[in-house]
Amino acid sequence: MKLTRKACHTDTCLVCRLCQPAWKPAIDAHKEFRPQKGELLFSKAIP
Amino acid sequence: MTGIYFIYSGNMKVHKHWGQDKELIIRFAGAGDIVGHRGIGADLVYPVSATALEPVTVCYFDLEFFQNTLQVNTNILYELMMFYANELQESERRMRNLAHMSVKGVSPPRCSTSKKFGSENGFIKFPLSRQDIASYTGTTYETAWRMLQELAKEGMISLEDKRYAILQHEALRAFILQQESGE
Repeated sequence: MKLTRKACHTDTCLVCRLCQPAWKPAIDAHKEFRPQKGELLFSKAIP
Repeated sequence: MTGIYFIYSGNMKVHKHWGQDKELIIRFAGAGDIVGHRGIGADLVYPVSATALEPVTVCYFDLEFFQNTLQVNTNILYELMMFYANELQESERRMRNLAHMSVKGVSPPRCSTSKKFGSENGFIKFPLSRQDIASYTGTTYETAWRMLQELAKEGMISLEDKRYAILQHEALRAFILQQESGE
């Protein structure tokens, strides 16, 4: 994903028409988790 | 950290363990909050854990996406900066309170007054264990329980199983302010 401020008309718009094609794959790549009571979401996270 | 989590629903605790059974709850996070944000920085190691206190739904974005967002979206960047500033203030206040305030004044009341938890008939929406309250206030289970009992006896709070309700908001607020000002 290559993004530059010059490519965005509004600067403050996350999904304006120009940016959307660049952002969409990343937005779609989000994950949803549903931990149950007592379940760890992350633990001492180390990359 | 490899990413950032946005909580859609439910409540979580962000906590730190050391030794076999020592735990400090750094903060509670509910719907609309983010967790994992403190892992952003030069040191990407975030030595804490996050555990669900009830069924939770979270949305996860990887760090690269989040950082790219901050680079192009000044509104999000500004909001995040304000959020960090508030967190820092709260963290400093809490550090001072843990060091100087009596256990009674630190957090059992705060736990219940916290808007985060929401309320149901005056009671916080979900059961919070006494151990969690002790871990949040930086004290032992026994001390936390004794303080809650004292507050209940004074009529400031009500205890029902693992649920808590504030009965005298103003009196409790005044008590906390008095404790914070060291009077």
